[in-house]
Amino acid sequence: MTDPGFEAFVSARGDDLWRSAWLLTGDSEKAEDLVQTALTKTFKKYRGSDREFEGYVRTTMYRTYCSWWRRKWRGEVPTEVLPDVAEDRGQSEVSIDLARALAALPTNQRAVLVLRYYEDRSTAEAAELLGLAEGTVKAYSSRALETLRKSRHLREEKS
Amino acid sequence: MNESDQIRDLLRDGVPPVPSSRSWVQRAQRVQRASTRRRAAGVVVTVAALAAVGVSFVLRSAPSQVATPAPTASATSSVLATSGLVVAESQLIGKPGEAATFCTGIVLQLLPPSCPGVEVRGDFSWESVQYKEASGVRYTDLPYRLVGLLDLSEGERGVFTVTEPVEEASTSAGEPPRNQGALCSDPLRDAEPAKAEDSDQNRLWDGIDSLPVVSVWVSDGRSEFNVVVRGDHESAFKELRKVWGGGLCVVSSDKSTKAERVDALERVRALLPKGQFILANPDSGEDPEDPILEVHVVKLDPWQIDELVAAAGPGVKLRVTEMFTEYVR
Repeated sequence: MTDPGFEAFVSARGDDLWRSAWLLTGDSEKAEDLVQTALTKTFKKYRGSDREFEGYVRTTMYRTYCSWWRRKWRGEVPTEVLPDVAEDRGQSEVSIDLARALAALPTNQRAVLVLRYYEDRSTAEAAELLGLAEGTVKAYSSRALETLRKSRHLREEKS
Repeated sequence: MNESDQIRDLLRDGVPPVPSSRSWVQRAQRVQRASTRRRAAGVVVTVAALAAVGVSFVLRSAPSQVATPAPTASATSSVLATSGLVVAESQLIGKPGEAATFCTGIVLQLLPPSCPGVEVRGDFSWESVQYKEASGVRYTDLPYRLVGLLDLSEGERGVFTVTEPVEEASTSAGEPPRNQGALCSDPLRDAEPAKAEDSDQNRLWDGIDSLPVVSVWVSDGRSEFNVVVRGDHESAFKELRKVWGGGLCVVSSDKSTKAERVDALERVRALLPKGQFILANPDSGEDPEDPILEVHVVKLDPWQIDELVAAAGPGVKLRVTEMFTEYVR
């Protein structure tokens, strides 16, 4: 029997979780997989407090993302030549350009960028959530911005 | 609009619409149940596997009497050929009609992607995996689990002869979260809230960098810093308190410092045969007060791992994990 509170939580917060997951993966299906995996790992820990539980789900989601990509040996080498990304049906040009620009970021830098600039987390919060030193988070954030600054995919979007 | 705001807007505007049909609740419950059953069965298998072949990683400190060998790149050569079956999970890349490559390093996300890896021979065909193709190169987006015999002395980077049916890799459970609570009961001792801004944090980090630090973490998600130092923790606390008015706990420890682990990593990397190194983390392990230097490699002989442990030096805990591990049916 599914906990009705858990169902309500997923219904209320699922879309937001998916949006963060999409920014991490740049792909609708992978984003869904990531949210699903985080919920599966945390499902039994639901105790009725949505706020506390969401923090737990998000932490699990980000750490799963980092370990997924590490396990698959993906994305640790940024490159000047940007890869093509899966173009979901119905995605706007902004989404496609953003996905391509984000694809140039190594895993940890991407996670830091999403936490800092999409979720508006502080450096210390991002550090805690990712299990990194705060100085490392600052360095990743700075490098990620530098990469996006140079991205040909975002030049038109930003202007 | 400043650059940070531009990036925020881009991230917000760029996310596509959320898919409408989902069944996350039911799937989470279903997968959890299946996972619990698999874990229960897995305990028996794991105990048997560990007894049969030994664990696939090494965790030990070098004894203090072991002298650190001079780091020479030619100290070891990679001539390893496994006598038994080994298993590994990774992506596959290759051209039709040629031997596929089983990636043993970073996959460059170009189109087509590329990676360093071992040549695949034996019981493998592209029909047994879900692949994509670009510019005449086939590649898998997902990692696959291959079982077979590994010979790193053959070919450019080694040959992996597949002997069992290829399977999609299982979903990783991820690493267990670290217990990163507060190190002391009074983190606000001598605190000055006026000196707990972002600019003060920068000064705090400068202060931390000047100390022989074992590890650092933030326990409340914002401003409660926990610092483990080698030596006199009271002096270190006073120094850091001069610049930081937020939560602060400082304790002393005789464990390896971050700088020692980073130096040890340099020595270990210098000893590794070409193509063996995959990843490293000088802040690994479950206990943040006793961090481990973790080095992930392709596959080594036990004597080579012993050399790495000696090279890491006294006091540094080294965990060598291997991509290819012994296969147990």
